[in-house]
Amino acid sequence: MKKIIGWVIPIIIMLIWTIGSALDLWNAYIIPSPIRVAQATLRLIESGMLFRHIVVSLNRVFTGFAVAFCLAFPLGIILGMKTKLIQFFNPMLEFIRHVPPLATVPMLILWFGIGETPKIVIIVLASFFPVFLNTLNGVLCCDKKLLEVGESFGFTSGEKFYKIILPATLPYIFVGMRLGLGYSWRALIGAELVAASSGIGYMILDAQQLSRTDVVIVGILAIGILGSVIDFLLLKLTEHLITWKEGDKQRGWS
Amino acid sequence: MAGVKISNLKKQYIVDKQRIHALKNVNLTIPDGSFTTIVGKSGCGKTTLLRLLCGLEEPTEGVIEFTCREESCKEISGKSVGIVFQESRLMPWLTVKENMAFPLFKTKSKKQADKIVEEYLHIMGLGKFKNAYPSQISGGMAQRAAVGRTLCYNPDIILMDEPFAALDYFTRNNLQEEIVKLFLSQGKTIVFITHNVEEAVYLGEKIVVLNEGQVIMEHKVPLSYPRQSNTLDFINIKEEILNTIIGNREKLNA
Repeated sequence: MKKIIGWVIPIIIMLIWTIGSALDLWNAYIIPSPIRVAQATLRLIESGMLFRHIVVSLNRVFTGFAVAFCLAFPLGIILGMKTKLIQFFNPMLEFIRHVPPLATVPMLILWFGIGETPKIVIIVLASFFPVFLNTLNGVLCCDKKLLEVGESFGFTSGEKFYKIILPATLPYIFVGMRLGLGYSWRALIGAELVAASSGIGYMILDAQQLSRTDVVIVGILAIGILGSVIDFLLLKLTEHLITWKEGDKQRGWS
Repeated sequence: MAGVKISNLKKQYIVDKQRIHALKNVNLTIPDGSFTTIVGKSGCGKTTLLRLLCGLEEPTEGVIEFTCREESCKEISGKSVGIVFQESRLMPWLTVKENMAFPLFKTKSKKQADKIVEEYLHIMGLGKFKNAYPSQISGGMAQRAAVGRTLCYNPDIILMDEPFAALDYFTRNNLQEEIVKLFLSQGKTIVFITHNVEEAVYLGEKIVVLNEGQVIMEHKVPLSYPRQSNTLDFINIKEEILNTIIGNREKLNA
């Protein structure tokens, strides 16, 4: 029943869209009909263009996100464990956090040219902070009482990290990853503004210049669907790895 | 087996620039293989004493010496001390079985650990719940698992910090009986902290009364196990200890 409820609003929107388009309630250029969008989708699939753009965009998102994760995860862990360092890094990180990645585009083009690097850097900037802040928060929120258990059993700092801090932080890390991937998709269009010749963002901008609003909508739907599918897969991975959260929902004998 | 000799132990905390004396010159001998209960009202320094004993805190002054029964054993390390906290403090991401095996990964192979854990799962009556997560079992079961975890660790001295305080009457009675059985069968040195005088008399061979950070009474309990709380001797000892605590409080008030 819960799954059906989630589809009610999209179905209503589809109905309004279809009926409105059929009755010519709005200009077909501003809002193309669902049939036109479906036809455009089929053409893009048949020509292989949609698939090619998706692969390029996915590659950028995953590369950018992987770089962001490799920087954010260790930094979050280190600052969480050595809290005195937070004061040292905090002003600089706060400054960068408040600068929209797109504002850096002109400088990134100057520094890195118009190749793949500036696009990846924009995605890195967009997805770094969700992963970093959630990892840091996870380490800081690790129950001190659990750490005392490790201490009472004579665990070393390394053992306390692997046996207590890391497992306790995992749910926070996964939340950071889900948010970070979402931010990566958001930054993608901005990243593909930078002299791109492929990718979903490029496809949307190209369609805009050619006044092909049906293709623009295909691009928007592709980003939304891809983002949701990746988030769903990550959620399933989280549930698989963090079974004790699942246990929380299924309270048994208490 | 091991005992503890505490000499001139002092512990001070600084709270809001004020010096708080949690323990004032405590001298105490806990013989090896004995069951000592430490009783006193809230804030008398019971938990501080236990945290100092297991090395979670450093004393301001004084010495804690661990003594061994065996002549060959000149000194025992802190690893021979295991603690059961007031809350179960089980790792929420581990099952009951994994929690009980938690302290063994350093010293035992998986096969050895499994054998030890199976034995204590049976003793603690948790066999059916070995694959349950802490969130899926009751508070009493969780506390039994915590006791089992410490027993699996096989320390020479078991410290218990009001482990049954949050449990209901029936669960508490069951666990008290189980602790006595374990003490009689394994002969470990047990230091049990409680604010419940009846519990102290039921469990301890020796009762130490703490008040305002000082030992005000040491009382040997000349009753054999299992004890009945409705016998005259039991009630007399309980009254004597209660009077000591109340009398001391009135004296301090005066």
